[in-house]
Amino acid sequence: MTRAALIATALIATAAAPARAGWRPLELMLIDAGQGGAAGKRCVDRVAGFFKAQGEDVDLVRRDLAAVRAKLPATLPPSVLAWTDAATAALRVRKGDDPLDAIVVIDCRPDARTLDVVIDPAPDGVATLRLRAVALEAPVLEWVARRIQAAAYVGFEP
Amino acid sequence: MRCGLIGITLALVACKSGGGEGRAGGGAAVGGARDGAVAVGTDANAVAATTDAAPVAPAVIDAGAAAVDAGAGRAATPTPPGVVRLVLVHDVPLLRSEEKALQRVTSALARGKLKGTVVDAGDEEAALFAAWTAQVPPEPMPPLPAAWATAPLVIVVGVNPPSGVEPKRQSSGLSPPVVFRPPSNDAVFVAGGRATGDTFDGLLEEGGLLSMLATFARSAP
Repeated sequence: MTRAALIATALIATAAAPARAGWRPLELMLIDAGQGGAAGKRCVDRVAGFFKAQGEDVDLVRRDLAAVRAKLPATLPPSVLAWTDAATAALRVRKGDDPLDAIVVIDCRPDARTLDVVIDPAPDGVATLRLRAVALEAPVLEWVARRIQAAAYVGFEP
Repeated sequence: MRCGLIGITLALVACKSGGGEGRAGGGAAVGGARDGAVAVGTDANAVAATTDAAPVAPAVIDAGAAAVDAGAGRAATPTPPGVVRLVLVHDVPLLRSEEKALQRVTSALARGKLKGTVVDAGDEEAALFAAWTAQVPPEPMPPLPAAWATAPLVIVVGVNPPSGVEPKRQSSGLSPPVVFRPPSNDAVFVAGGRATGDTFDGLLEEGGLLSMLATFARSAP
């Protein structure tokens, strides 16, 4: 009886925690640079929506630039494309937890049809994406989000 | 017919002689390689295109670029009006696997609603690509090559040198692309820094770069 109970318990535990040894989500902070007004916010919302759709594979934290500004250097280049990983380093650190896997800052201006993104993944250096004179519609933003995700995974260790 | 035979002969001679030395900035790879690379689309027209600046049919790879190398500057291969131009920048010959994958890309471009052709980079194209990968955006932005004037869209990608040693060399994929919509010399799309590149097959995937061609081409300024 005891043996049967142990086996049953083990089976339940196995079912509750599927075998995903070494798995963990990509932990990502997405920051809206806030230069694109309401349309810019909708644009960033769309990109964030892509990551939310990844379910448990991506753990997304969203922030506005104003909310994290105090953690950034006092002077920053006007274009996020010129930001370095030193600028976003402080944002990666979390109290009592491992650093975030990637910091993503988006400057989306649909009215001007421009989109700038800087991605700071785990290794040194940043990746940048720059779109010009392109209507920032849903398919474009989803395509950009895929590229952001690919860049964010650089150096990722489960 | 005679020109065709001459073209084929030139390509065969180039293959026979090895021709493994790449030319700076690209262009050496498609034909004339000895380390597992193969010639793709060894069409006599492609050879003629590099020597006589004759028009290249859509989806024809410039296989002759490697066969004719006098050490002088390489002019950009012309493409017909309205045809998307995929420009490859590479210093070493493509691997056989890359050539096969490139054939799939070429076929897809030929079948697509927006027709495209694949060419090896000329000197000016390679220099432009280098400027955009060194700094985003480069200051000042370089002018576009004249050969791009009639293209609705130009995609420039670098083919990364393969890793490993013969006979077990492996593709290292492509560098991130730079996309232009002539006549503007400002890139429509550019990825810099540690941005990840694609593979040839990745270009074709759902959500790959080629799926965005029509979108990028129609977003007129």
